[in-house]
Amino acid sequence: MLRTIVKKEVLHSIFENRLTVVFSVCMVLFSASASVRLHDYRRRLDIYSISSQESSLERPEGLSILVRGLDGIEREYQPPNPLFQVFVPVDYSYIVEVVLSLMAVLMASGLITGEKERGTLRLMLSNPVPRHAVLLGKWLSSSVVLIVPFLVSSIVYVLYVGSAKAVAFSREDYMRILLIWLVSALYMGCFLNLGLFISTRTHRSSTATVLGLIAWIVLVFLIPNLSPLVGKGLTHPISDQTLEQRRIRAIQHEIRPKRIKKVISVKEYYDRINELERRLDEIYRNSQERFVDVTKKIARFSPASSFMFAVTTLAKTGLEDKEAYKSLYPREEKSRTQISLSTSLNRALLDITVIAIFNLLFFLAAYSSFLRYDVR
Amino acid sequence: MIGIIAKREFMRNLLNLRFPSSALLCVILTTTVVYLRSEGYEEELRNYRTTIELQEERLKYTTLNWAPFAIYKPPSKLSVFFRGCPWKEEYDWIALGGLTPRGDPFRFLFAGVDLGWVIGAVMGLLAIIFAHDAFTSEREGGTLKLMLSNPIPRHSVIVGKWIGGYGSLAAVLVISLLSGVIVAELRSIRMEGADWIALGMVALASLLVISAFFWLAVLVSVRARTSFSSLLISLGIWVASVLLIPNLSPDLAGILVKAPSIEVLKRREGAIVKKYRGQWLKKLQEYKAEIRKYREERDIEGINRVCKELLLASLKKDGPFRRGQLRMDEELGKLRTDFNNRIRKGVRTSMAFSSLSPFASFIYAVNTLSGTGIRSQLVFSESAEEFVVKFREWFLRQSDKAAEMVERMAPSEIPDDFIERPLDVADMPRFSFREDIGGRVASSLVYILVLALYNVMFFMAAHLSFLRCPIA
Repeated sequence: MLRTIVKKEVLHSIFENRLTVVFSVCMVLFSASASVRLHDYRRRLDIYSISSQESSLERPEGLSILVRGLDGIEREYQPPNPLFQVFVPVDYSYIVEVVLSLMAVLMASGLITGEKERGTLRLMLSNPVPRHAVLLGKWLSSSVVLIVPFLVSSIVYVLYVGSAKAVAFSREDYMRILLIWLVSALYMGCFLNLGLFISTRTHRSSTATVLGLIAWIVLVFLIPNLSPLVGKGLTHPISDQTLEQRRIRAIQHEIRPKRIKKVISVKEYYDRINELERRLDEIYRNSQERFVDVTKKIARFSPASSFMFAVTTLAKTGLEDKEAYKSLYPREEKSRTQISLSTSLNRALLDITVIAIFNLLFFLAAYSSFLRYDVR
Repeated sequence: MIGIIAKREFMRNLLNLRFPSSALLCVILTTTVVYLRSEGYEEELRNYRTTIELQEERLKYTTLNWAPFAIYKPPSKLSVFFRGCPWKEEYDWIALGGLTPRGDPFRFLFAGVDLGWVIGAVMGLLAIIFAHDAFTSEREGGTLKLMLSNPIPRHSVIVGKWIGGYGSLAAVLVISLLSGVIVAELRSIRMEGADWIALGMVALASLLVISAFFWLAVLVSVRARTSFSSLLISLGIWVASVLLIPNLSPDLAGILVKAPSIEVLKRREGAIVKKYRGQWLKKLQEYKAEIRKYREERDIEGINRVCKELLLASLKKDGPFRRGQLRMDEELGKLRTDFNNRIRKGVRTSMAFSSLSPFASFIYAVNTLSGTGIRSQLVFSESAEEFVVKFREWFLRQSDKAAEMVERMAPSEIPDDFIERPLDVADMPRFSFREDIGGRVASSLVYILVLALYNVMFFMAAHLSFLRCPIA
């Protein structure tokens, strides 16, 4: 029975051109993104190659073409066009996080309500078909319609990027890409389940679509973007300016007068300055660590943030992989090239679990709602 | 007749679930965003004041050898509403040093939400939700045929539907904007006359962008067969307009207009500085050789005389150092101008691309009006350049004064730490920046005009389509 429902739904999607729309959107977006991100990667590589030997610039990470994350945030790598700071770059992670999640919600929000409006749901359930089979069938068919075009176009994306001369993906990189795909599929499943849940709580497709869109805005834009602001409000992280002010005041008013009065020797003078800088660095580090921890906790109320944290970690472009933020993780002093796949996977595990929990929660909610759904 | 249709449409929206839910969503979004952004603004203001204080402390140590100056932009009050481009960090890096920006790392992971996004993207989406079934639902329900069997001109139907549907959306916008302003006032962000003018223009741009999306959805609704397909097509256009075209445009412009990198500029600047420093060092070596010669001869007077000559060479207007410095500044200026021109070309190209999206035009308009956008950056750069010229003139005057003093002194009277002595900085020019409202409004007019054009275009297309569309 399940097979029949899946087959019917897939055929329905094909005849309604839904599959064609998803496939075309994926192909257009992934091709455009691959082209512009590759161009940007080459630009950064050029900068890296001409940067002087003494410069501590990190080599651009190949996987940053797919998931930019924090790669290339150094001033030297920043493109001079200020519009790059107004809009976000369209990379693989952005397409999945924003566009494909929207498609998943839209597709799923009409699954039950659409059948109800057409009157076919009543007809279907008048046969000896268990409700869980209907729900599972619809879920499976939507997943196929979403995942197949996504996989095909992202394989083309990776093959195109991987075949470029400037990019040399290692075997481990391909393993990472595979994991990123799995996380992406899990993430899209999450929004599919959310749409399905909304569909089982409403009786009209238009209401389900509106509610789905509102939920999507909250989960994809609102929570991730507002969490740093809330985190700042809760933890009040110390700013660079305040730190510099404290440093200058301590030197001018405490350390320097002692040296002028010759209370301390030159060596002692420099030792005290070093000690002050170490202390201030620790204060800054602790304050940043608190801010990042609190913000991450708040952001994880949305699967979109967890997805972003997980894929950036897997692509070695996350917070933990960036040299500048390494001070937040004092025990991890290895360079980025030495970060093993298992380390990345361990770091990303929490976020992958969060996405899986969201999946489960939404699916269970959809299931329990559908069991009590009035099909008339 | 238009009034009756508009009233019916308005009441349909008002009594439907979508009006209260949209109003609630927009008010919650606006108040949350403004509340949280106002905290960010206060922090920015604190940081700005701290930086200025630090700079004042640094100024006490200004000498002929080391003359620091700082160019900082005060945070715009309207940044509590609009994020703009957070480019000021560029200047913070110069002051604080360091290769990688520190602070909040999440700004590189998430795009950032502001009122521009709430109005342009969320309310644009709501406009689509409100208008996507304006004609399809009537066609599906058979009421369109019924309505047009009466002596009602088609333009009355389309305009009536726009007034009714758009009126309810405009009410949501006004409520949201008011709630945002109230939150800002409660957070003690005191608006002045210029800020109110800017906010008035922002309201106009907001009305236009929502209307553009509304007309777009009406156009699709006229041409589509079912409400669902109308919604899907409109959403597709919304995704392209809000999420793709603006975000892809800087990259596309980067491919078309070969943008110079800061690293290349730095290297070229470094080469120029090295060339002139080399010339100066060569001259310095000659003086040093002369001093060595006198030292071997134990001729103190000779040493003092050469030291005085050296000092004058570095301080006097027609001295080799100042001449070289002027030539170097000229070459560096040319390089920077060329660099800036190419960046501006890139910006213009990306703006031309992104003007395909009403959302992008709206974002440019509100960022310009709030003093947080590209225009503000350009005006700030120009003010900074003017200030640098003024500062240089002041410094050269100090140098001239010092040269005159040295000339009057006997070589043996010149103290060893002459150029290390703190300068009187009372008349030193200080940088201050204020962007006038007239310029902001004038610059934003072009984007507002683009939005108005979108409205006219979509209206004409919807009207023409409706005139020829089958009503069955």
